[in-house]
Amino acid sequence: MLNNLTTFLGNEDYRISILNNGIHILNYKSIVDITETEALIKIDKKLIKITGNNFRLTKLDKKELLIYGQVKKVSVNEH
Amino acid sequence: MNTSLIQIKIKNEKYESIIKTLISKSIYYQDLVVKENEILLKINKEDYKYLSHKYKETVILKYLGINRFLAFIKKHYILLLSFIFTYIVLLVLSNIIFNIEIISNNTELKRVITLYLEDYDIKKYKFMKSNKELDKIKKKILEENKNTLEWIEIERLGTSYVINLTERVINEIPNEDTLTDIVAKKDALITYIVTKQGTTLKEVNEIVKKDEIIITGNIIKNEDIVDTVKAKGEVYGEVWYTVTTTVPYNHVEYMSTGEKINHIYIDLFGKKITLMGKYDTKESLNETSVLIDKPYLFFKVMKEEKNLYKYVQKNLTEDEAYEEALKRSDKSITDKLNKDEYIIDKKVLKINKYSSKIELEIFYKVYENIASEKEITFPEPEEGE
Repeated sequence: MLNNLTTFLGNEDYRISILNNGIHILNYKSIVDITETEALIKIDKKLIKITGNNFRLTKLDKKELLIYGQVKKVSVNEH
Repeated sequence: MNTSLIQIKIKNEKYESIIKTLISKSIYYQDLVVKENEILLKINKEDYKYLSHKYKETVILKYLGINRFLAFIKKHYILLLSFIFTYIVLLVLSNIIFNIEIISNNTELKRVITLYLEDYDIKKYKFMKSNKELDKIKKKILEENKNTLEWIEIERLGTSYVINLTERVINEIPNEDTLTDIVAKKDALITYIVTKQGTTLKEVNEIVKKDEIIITGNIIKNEDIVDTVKAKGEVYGEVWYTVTTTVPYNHVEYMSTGEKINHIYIDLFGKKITLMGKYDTKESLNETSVLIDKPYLFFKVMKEEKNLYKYVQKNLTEDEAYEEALKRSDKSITDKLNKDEYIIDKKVLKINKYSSKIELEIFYKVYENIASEKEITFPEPEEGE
C-alpha cells in the first residue's frame, strides 16, 4: 500500500526492483508466463523477460508482484 | 491492513498448476511458501470457496485480522455467552441491597430514618445507589431532619449499607431575655468576681460546689425578692485537677516526612490490582478515596494517598521520662484552657518508677472561668392560689 501511495504521489509509471533473492515489480499490466526459470511480465508497452533459477511467485497483487529466486538476467523488449 | 485474510494449505498439487490458476482467475495472494507436497499462502476469504472447490485438499490453517476474531467467537460462543451471562448475574447481584444496618442508640431516630431511606428506595432487594445519588440522599435527609440529625454516613460494604447516625444534641443556650443565675461550672475557690447585674451571693476566697449559685438574677431587698433579671458578671476561680501520666522509657514516635504517594488501583471484590504508584510500607498513614464507581462495573478504581512517616525509636533515661511526663501532663491541661486561663501551680504528688516506665501523679491549680448561666425556674402556682 505504501508503495502504491509512493507511486501515486511520485507519478511513477512502473518500477522494477532487483533484490538479493528476487525481483519486485510495481504497476505491472499482466503476467504472460511464469515458470521456475523464466518469467514474462507485461509492463506499460514493454515486455520484461526475467531469467534465473527456482522462481516462486511469492506475492501477487493487482499492482505488484514479488518473485523469489535467483535472478540472472532482466531484459526489456519494446513492442 | 487487509482484514479478511486467511492462511490456507493446498496439498498434493503442483506449484505451476496452482500459480496459473491464481493468475488466470486474478486471485491475489501473499506469503506463498512451497513445501514438499503442500503450498501455504494467504488469500482473501472470498477466494477460498473457489480454490477449495477446485483443489479438494485445501484447508484453512488460520484466520487473520478480523476473521481471526470472528472465528474465535464462532468457536467459543457458548463459553463467551456463559461468561457474559455470569458477568450480568454477578453485576446484578452485587448491586442489590441485601442488608441495611442503621447504627444509632436512638430507636425513634432509627425508625424515622428507615422510613426516609425507604422513600428514597434504599431498602432490601432494591438496587444500590451511585455515590452521587447517595450524597444527594444524605443531603436531603439531613435537611429534612436538621433538628434531630447532626450527621448521616451511608457506607456500602459489599451488598450491605451501613448507616451511621449522629444525633443532634441541642444545648439550649438561654437567650438575652431568659432570666438566669450564674452558677459554678465546677468545684472551685473563687478568686475573682465582677457583678454587672443581679445579686452576688458568694465572695472571693469562698469555696463553691458545682451548680452552686454565685450571682443570682433575683434582686433581693430586705430578704425579699423584689425583681428578677438576667444575672451578668464574670467569675474566675482556682480549680484543682489531678493528672496521672505514664511514659515508657522505650517507645516509638512517628514523624511525618512530608512525602506523599498516590497509589491508584482497581478494587476487584476486595482484591487490589495496582495501576500506578504501588509502594509497600507500614510506615504510612493512608487515606482512601473512590475515583470511579459505576453500577455497571463490578470493580472500582480507588486512590490511596499515602503520607509517609518516619518511626523514631526513643530510649529515655529516667530523668528524661520524668520531664516528658511533666510536659505531657501540662499539655493535657493547657489544651483545655482559654487565653485568659492559666496554670497557677502544680505539684508532683506521686512518682511510681517501674522497670519499663515512669508514672507521675500531678496536682494542678488552675485559674479558670467558672461562670455558667442557668435559667431561673419559678415554682408552679398551687391550685386555689
